[in-house]
Amino acid sequence: MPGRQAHGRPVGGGASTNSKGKKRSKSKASKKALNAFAIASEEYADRQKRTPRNRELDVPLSGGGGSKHARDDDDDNDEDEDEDEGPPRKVRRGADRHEDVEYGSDSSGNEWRVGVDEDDDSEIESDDAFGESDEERFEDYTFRGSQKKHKKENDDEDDQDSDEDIGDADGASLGSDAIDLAAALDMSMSEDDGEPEADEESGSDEEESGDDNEASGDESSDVEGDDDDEVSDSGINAWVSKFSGVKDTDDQDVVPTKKPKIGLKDLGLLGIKDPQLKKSLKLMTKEEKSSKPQKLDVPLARRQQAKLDRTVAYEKTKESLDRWSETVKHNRRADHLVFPLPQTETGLARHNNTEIQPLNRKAPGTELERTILAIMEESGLGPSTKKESNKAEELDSADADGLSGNNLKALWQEKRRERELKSREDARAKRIKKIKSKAYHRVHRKQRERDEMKEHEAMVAAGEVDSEDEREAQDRQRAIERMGARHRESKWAKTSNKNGRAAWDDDVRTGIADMARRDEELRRRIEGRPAKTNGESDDDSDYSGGSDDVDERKRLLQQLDNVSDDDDAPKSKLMNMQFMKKAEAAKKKANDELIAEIRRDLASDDEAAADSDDEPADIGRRTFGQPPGSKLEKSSEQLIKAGKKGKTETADLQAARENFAATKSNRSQGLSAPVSQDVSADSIAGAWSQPTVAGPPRKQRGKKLGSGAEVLEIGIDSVAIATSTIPAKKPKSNKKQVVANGDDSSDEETSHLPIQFREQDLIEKAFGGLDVVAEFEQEKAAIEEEDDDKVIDNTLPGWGSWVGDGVSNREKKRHQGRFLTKQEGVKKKDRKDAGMQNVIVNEKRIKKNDKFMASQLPHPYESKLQYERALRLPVGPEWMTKETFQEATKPRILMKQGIIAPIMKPTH
Amino acid sequence: MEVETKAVDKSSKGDYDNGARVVKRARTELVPKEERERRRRLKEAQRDYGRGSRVNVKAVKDKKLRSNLKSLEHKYKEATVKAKDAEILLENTSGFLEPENELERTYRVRQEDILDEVSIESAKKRFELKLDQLGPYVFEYSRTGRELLLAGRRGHVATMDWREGKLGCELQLGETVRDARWLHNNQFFAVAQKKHVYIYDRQGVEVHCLRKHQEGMSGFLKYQDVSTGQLVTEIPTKLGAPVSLTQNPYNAVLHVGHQNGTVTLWSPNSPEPLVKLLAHKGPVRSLAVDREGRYMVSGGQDCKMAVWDIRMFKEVNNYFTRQPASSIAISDRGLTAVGWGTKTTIWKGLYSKHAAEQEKIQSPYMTWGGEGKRIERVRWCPFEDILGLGHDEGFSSIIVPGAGEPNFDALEVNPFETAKQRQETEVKSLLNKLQPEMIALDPNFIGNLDLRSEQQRQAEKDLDAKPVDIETEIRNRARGKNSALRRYLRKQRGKNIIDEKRLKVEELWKEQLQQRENKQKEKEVELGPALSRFARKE
Repeated sequence: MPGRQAHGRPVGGGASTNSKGKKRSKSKASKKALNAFAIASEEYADRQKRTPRNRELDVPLSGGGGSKHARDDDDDNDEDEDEDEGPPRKVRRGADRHEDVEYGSDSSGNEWRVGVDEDDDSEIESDDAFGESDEERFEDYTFRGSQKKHKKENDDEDDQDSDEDIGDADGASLGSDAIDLAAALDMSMSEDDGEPEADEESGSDEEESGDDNEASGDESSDVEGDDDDEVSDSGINAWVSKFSGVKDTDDQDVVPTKKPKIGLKDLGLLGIKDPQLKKSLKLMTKEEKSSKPQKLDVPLARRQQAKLDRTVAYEKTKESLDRWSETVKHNRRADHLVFPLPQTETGLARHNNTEIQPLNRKAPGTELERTILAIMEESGLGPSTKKESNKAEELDSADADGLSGNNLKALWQEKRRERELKSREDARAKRIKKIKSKAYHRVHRKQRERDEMKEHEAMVAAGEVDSEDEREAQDRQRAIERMGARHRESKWAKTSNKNGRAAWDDDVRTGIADMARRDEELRRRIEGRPAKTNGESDDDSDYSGGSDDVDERKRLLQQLDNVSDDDDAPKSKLMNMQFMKKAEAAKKKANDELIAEIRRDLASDDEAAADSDDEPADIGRRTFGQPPGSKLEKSSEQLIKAGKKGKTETADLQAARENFAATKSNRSQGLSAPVSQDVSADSIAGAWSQPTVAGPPRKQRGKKLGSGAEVLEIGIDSVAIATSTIPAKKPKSNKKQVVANGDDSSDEETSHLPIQFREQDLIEKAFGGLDVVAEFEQEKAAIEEEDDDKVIDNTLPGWGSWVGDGVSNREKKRHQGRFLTKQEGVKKKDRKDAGMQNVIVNEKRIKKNDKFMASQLPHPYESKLQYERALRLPVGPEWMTKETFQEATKPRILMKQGIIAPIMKPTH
Repeated sequence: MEVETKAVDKSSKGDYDNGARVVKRARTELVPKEERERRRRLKEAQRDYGRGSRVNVKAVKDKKLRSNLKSLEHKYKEATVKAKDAEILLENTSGFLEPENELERTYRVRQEDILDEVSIESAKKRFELKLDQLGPYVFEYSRTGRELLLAGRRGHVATMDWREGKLGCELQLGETVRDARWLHNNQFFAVAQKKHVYIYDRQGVEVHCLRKHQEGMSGFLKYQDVSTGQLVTEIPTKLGAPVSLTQNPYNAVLHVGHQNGTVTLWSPNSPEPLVKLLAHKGPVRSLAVDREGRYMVSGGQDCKMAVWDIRMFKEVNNYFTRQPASSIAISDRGLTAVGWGTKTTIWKGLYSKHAAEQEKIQSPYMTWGGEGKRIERVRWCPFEDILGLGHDEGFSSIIVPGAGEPNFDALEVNPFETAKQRQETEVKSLLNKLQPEMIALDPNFIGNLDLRSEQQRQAEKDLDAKPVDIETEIRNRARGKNSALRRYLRKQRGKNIIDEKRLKVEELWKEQLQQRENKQKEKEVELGPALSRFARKE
């Protein structure tokens, strides 16, 4: 341990290094301030008993600035003076070691004395150099050598024992030449840097110090033998505290800060005769007298110092290197680099690209600026005026504040209260909104209505009612009420839809049903038909009050229909039995008769009504096009008859076509109107006219044919009409074609017109028979079916069942469809051609194309979109400008010939 | 109540429309003029040269990816803007006939009127070839627009540089000629004759006879690779003999018109049509697709001309022709020539790609004919304002202002190319040749992500396929430095992957070594102890 034996050094030599130590101690003190634990322990230390013994021990600890740093130093000191204070070190290091027990017995022997010097000098173990505070500091670090040293410890033990023995051997007494411990430590510390050989040469000093220190060494060794086992794992402090009698686990970190130094009196050394000692004593007293602590810190051990230096140096270097990081980053990220770098080209004048500063009073740099400033000031725009005005404002505001200081507070309070109230109201409104109970709403509505009525009456009394506006407002109100909140677009509907509440919440289900019903009613009203009145709730009764008996009849009919429809409901097993069936049939027959009777009655009534007043005029939206006049119907009736009697060949053909069209789309219902005959072109009959057209025939059918209302019959009607009204259709189609024909707009070609349209008709006829549209639709349907999800029956006949002759059909059926697998396909709504007319898009995957596709998303990309976007960047010169191409293909690093200067040092 | 009124307000807002439009992004802040100008320019560039919408860079979590994507977006933007800027380099502009007042009609303008006005050099391009002996003529311009291939029904085939009036070659085949086409350049042409398809070179020497393309096998679509000579696929359309056929220049998909009014779209990779449209009620007599692959114009026997958006597969408009259109062609600038009967009408603006709503054109742009020449074929001359017309009395070339692309891209087609350039282009095009498997409706599919799930992929894998036999695979190419074995060892030895194949290969290698050693020994023995050292080592 070369650093430890520093005995040859003069006391004064330490001073120069001490100054540095002092400085550091200050910084350490500040560091300690951050360390709450240290502070706490410091406080705790004050309560220590001030036994002379303790004081003695504390002196060396408080020798430096008394801070944590001082303790650090002390640790170092301990190490340095290993020979004297062997035991404490021993304790610290070997606390958790088993061999410690033997220590006591070892300590009695003297054989190790010979090796002392060499061993002590040669070894400073990294563990020792690594003080406690350092351990705190470098908790995260692991030193490469440390592990090895730990292993070595066992071997070192003997040496340490020897250390202690020295103390014993030398320990003559706490003799007359004892000096202040601190001073002694200082002396020894200052000799840190001494060579190992200096040891022997510096005779007297060394011996002296040895004597000085033996006091502590001696005593400690005595104690050591006894309570070796109790010795805790902490370091010297624990050891110290043990002596002080305070049994606390915490005091291992106790750092007594400012304790009175041990005076000569305490040691009982008043009469000192040694001139050298006196000299040092004088120095000490001088120090004490001077206000400033003149004594400098003990310098750190060289290794530690070096380490600290290295850390600092590392930080500095790092800082200076970090300056480059931006440059490096920039260069790494650059798409292209051109060497020599543009920055090294020095010839260019670097223009100042900092922003132009606003004019200010202090430094109007140029003459121009000064004049401008003057002008601005003159006109009251200068910075000074602004400041003044600001000041004035501030004053004003301050005044106002002063005046209404109290008022302001009151105002505040009031506002807050208002806000709170408002929010409370809001909350309440929300709550009310949430209450879905019909009863609640009804009660409130009734209440409101009553109020309104009262008001109205009052107004009537006053004679200020019945203006146009008033009435309209009322109407509007009624309409609004009728529509209600539960319409399709409402929030309620959406939420209930989204959550699928209808599945379990009866309330919602009824609500939805209600919604649908209202919707239907409204639509019917718009179309001009009376609202369906079955199942009307009391809420809506107000508007259906004016329903006449016609409506009543209709309703009855409807109900009857419903009843008759209900017949074919699914039957239970019981019902499937023969006798039950019979009974059922009998009942049904009776019922049917009853229904028929009622129908008859109603029909007769209807006829009578129809005769009396042409039609119960349902007022709704006006419809254009074919009016549902009775004459036309009659004619069509005749036509039906005609069609039934003699079906000509052409009619047949047409019928087939029409029929198809009719089933294809409901649009073709409009075909029954003779005007809108053009099958191939877009039908004219709009959605509006549709129900009115469809309405009358049904009614008639109801009269004529009874309950059965088939769509097919419409087809027959329309066919008949179509055949009969071919001449009528001509002008209409002409009109249409004029628009279509560009050729015809020239005047010379107008003469061709009739011929042309005759041609067109011929064409229509010619290709009419082909019926390509129907074929195409069929094909599309077939393909849709084929591509759709399929259920495959994997049942093998003969597996798990009997096959062959004699197996009943029932048995066969039972084993069908036992193993079904569903094959996923493309659903009709998911097809690419869904909703496209006259288009079939192949949904099958093209396998040959697959090999050009990526099987999975390549690494850095997060989504398909990103990846495919990255692919689409053009590369070839064919698809972009030359400039872009060159930019894209430019090499990353370009070097010009010649000397390339290094990158300039970053200046910041 | 409050609730109800609110709801009603909402609904009424939805229903009531006062005609006012809702502006989505109202301009609320002041934007300087140049900024506005810049934005407008950017928008236009994006519209004309853009390559799809940008990805949301900000949502990317990975830092590196984000910066990469950002730079990518920047590159896209730069490329589009520069392409737009480069438009000023296009020195030639196209112009159309424009009426000066409402009474004037462009379709009244006769060829004579135009000839009076244009330069002599341009006027020379209007000419007639009277070839009334060998029946109605079909013809084809070469891709550069310099040469013309004429084929008369009765066996007369000729090529010519039509500007110079120089005949290239002339053949009298003596049998029915159905059609004739140039191949990739003016060096070869193919003629569909009575029985087979033949390929001739520019001197008129018969080079090939494609016996696979024969008469009587109607309704088969056959793809032949003319650079390798192999038949790529043979697909039965199952719709009878097709009436018309054209290729979409955008994605190389073939459009075939059939007797029943359907148009089917084919690629060589699918045994079924990619798309099937019902365009007409009668046979589809003629088809044409614009060069951007957006619109298709078809003429049917039912005297209709339909304009289809073939990306949305939607009929845009429907026009009436007095006679079934025998031939339709779309010029580079979007003029559509329709030959019907003895007349030809030229339409402008049948479709416009930037318009939201396609308007129906009321009158044609120009008309020609009515002189008793039954039109057999109409084709536009590339890079010229010339329309060629093949009819039963020969060939006519008429001037249609504004038809051709005024600026050519020499990287694609160079109308002024020299022989050397032509050769180079040929080599380059061979190098850049795309495989037939790359043909699809969306030509940008290459490299896209295959969206099938792993499960699906497993299900679709051919389970009956034989397992690959490593040994035979290796032994297949057994000789030389690049034998499969050596190659494998060279590539794989360094890697520490031990699998079945590797083990097998090692075994084989050892075996071979053993063999070689044995051979060596044999040789040495043969040569005897004295000469054994001269035994050649392999």
